[in-house]
Amino acid sequence: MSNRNSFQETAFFRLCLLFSFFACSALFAQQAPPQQASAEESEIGVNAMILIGAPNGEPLSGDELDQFTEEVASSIRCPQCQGLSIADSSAKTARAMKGELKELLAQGYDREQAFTYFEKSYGEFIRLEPKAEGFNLVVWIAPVIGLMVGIAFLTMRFRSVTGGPGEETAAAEPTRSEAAGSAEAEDVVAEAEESSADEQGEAEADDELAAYRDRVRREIAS
Amino acid sequence: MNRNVLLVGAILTLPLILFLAIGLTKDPFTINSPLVGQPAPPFALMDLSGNTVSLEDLKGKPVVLNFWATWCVPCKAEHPILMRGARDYQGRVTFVGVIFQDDPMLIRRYVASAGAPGPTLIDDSSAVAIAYGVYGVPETYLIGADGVIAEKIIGPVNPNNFFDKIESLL
Repeated sequence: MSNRNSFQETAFFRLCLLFSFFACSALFAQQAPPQQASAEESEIGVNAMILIGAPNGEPLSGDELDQFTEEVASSIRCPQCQGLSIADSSAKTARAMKGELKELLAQGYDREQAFTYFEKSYGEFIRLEPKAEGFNLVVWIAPVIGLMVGIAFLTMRFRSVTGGPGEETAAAEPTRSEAAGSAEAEDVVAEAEESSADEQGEAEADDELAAYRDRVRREIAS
Repeated sequence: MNRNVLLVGAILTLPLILFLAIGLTKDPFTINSPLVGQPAPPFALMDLSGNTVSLEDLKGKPVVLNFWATWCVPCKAEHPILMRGARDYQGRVTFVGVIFQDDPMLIRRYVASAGAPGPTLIDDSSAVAIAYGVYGVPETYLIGADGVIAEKIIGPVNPNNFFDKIESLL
């Protein structure tokens, strides 16, 4: 009887041991992989959190992430290319940067934080559109000033050619060359009048000739 | 009128000519790194043996961080200089190589034949190269014992001044 009791106790003990083993292994199986993954993430590569702090926005995924990555990537310069964005370039570095950008946006970093991440290593050069502040304002202001100066210059030139207020007296009092020019014009008019008079005379002579011809023809016929 | 036009033209164009003249004296491909004088971005990478090496582990001694690849001819040209530096400054300066966009198999073969001045790290995603603002290889960063980047050398290191630069870190 006692042997049977001890057998039952041993069996119960073994069952408990087996159950606790499975329970523990299930518990560790649930906890271990994420711990390992997070350790790997923090160990290999560069930790963005250390460089630019915590994300300001919400993590993105799917199509929204892809679209926003393309949008931001089109404003980031490819450092190995000539004036191309990392969205347009197929260079290895551009692709790697785009991958980094996507990872940042997926973690919830916003556009400005993403720019800051790349600016920290490459400087403001990495922005295809420089910020409108400080010395960069020259890029925005200089063309406007240039345009205004150009318009002012052209306006002044146009007025001087068409005759401004200062040119009126000059128009009223013709210069020597203008006077000479007008005399020549008068000569031309006179010549034209003379030639028209000649033409009139010729027409009269033609009429007389025609009358003479008619008279001769009539006489021959008779 | 002509004199005024000339004067206005000169006022407008002279600063532009001066600006361009200054620009012509500079190398357009050399862009100053904003990282010089700043703490080196911390990182951790696997070496060719599969061990993790982090910048944090190397703190306390100056670090020569060299980005290179086997397809880069200037990298092979500067390799003996780095090897000599690693030998001369053994125990005082740590030389670290980071592979830039290359096949680890080719790197292993090259390191087996030519040796390596220090741990050779695999940067598969180029994340570390991007964090250090690498444009191309070779590029070398001289990091002080305090973890601050003292200088960025673009192109192969020059044996005439490279060791003086290392001395200045000590």
